[in-house]
Amino acid sequence: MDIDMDDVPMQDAELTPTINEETSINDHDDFQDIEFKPGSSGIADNKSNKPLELNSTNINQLDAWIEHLGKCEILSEDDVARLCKMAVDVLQFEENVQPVNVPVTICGDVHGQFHDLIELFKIGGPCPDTNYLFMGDYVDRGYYSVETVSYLVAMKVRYPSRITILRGNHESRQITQVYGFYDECLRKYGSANVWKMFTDLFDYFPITALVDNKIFCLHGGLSPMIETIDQVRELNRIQEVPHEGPMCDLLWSDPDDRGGWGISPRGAGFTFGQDISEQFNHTNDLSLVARAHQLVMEGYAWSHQQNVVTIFSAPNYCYRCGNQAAIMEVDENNNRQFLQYDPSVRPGEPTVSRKTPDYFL
Amino acid sequence: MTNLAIQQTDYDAFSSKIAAIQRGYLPPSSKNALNQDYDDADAWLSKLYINFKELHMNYLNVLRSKNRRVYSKINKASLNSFPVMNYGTYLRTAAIDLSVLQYLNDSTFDKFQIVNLGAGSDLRMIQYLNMFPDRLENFVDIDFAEAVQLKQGIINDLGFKNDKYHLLACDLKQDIKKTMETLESRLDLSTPTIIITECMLCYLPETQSQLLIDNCMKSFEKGCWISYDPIGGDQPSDRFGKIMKNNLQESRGLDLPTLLIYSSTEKYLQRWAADNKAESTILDMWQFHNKYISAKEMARLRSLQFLDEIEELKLMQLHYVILQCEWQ
Repeated sequence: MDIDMDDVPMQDAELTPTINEETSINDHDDFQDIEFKPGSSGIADNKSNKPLELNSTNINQLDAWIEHLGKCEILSEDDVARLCKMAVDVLQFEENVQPVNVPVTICGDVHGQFHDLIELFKIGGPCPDTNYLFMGDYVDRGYYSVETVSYLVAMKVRYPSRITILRGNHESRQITQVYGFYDECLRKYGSANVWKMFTDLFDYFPITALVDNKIFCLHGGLSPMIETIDQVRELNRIQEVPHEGPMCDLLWSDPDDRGGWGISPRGAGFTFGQDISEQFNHTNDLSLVARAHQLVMEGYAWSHQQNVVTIFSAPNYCYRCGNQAAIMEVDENNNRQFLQYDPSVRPGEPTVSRKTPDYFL
Repeated sequence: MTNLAIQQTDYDAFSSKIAAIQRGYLPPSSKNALNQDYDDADAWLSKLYINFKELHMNYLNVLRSKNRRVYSKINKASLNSFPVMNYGTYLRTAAIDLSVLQYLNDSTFDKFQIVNLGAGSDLRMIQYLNMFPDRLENFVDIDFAEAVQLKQGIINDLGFKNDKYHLLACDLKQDIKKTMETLESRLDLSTPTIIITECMLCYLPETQSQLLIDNCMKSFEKGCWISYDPIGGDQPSDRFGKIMKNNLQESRGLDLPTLLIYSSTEKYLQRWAADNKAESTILDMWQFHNKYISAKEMARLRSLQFLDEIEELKLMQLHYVILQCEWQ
């Protein structure tokens, strides 16, 4: 189907994706029409055999990018390519279960709500003074996925031991084509190149973290195929998020009031009961599973008698849900404290460029 | 608030419907879309949705030749519809039709009429006139003059013509007498009458919505009111309605004067409760979803797109209601 650009009023036109063959999809299946080949961006073609070493040149470069991104301005396509290449040489050396020391502040979904991410750093303290662990879902839904993920990746490369960024189920080629990141890249860069770079980079993100050997952190939840943390270490994570299997479950599953394993209403992953969480924590000598993935109105929610905590860090999710956001501070002595916050006030943001959140009208 | 802001909500509704059709959500499965307890309704529902997709796509194609600007808006919006919206559009469409069909199924009368207030691009008149060629005496669609004009042109081109169908222009915010005169010009007050308000009352000021309900229920001897609307939520911690009101006001000048007044199912229902012979039921749309939609149908919907937002779906559906009020 064609879209008649001439007839679209100006303020709408700004939001219209660049029209080319790739955006003219009008089919049942989102995924088959767009050609994506993992690795086609080339960002991982010349991987280093040792972790990226920071020197004064690349530190200056990174600091300049971080300052630029901090103003919610996108990097050039060439700079995104440079950034992603550097990030590959950081992330490829991290583990499936990335060890993290205390103190650390653990955060949940951000979903392209860039101004709220800046608010998060105000509430939790600036990085690198505060150590951060993000549990995925940086892109999709919000209007600033490009800025958000660029900023977090730049921070990761600049302060690799201060910030950990795990993979969420939205850090995937398939999901980002449905939920907005793909369209946003087309709109802001005029082609899918940046989307290809970032989705190729997502394959290298670690999928879980272990805080002080006591708190197991991941985006979704447990898997019936994973009983021990060592089994996570054996997975080959460098790939698109599969439709099923242990890696899929870790990024998609949810805790549930019902015991045992259940079918997930999301169409991927499983639901797991308190019996499963207790057994997992016992087997692996853990005090807690910390995860994100679900909208919770207070920003955090306990389940399974404090065996599992959900943390969600996108306030007023999708500019519509009215929820608070939260982050969880874990101090040197493993004491935990939740910090809740509301959406940032955005005086500088022009209202005309903001699309109305969807409602049934 | 301008009439234009209200009128444009029709494009949202229609593009959502097109998106749900193109993604395969609508029409519902022709068998067992509903839970077992509702087998009769299930059979009726599938009959109502015969040719549903063709009908809507044909309408969209003619619209393209009539008004490129509106077509572009609708087409663009339909391409960017999220799963949570597609689910909700499915539920909204099914809820209204199920309410109509259940009323007819339980009835002892033969002839009836339907009024769709603020019908916009809704094509139920074709579906219902096809399904009930003998029983359905009159189908009246009411909307703003501009909307009526566009719709008339499209259905003329589609070759839809039926003496029982009346597409009438009327601003429902105006004097209630004019509204009643318009209705009475084409409808028989003694014939059982189904009145549909799908996201219409929410745009009326409090007084006008009450006057409309009171006058219709008084004038028509017997009937059934079916209404779908958002509610603001009445828990102190619930900010959904307040944010919705602000978002729509700020970004498109659309006002929802009663969203925070009729903020719960109980409060929404009150406007029909003045008539103590009337029998009303109301469900929020999450309750509707849990009560009526079969596990098999849910599995079908799940297979269409990953629904990564079950909590968001629930939150939104908790803030929409389907009301059915029978009076005689």
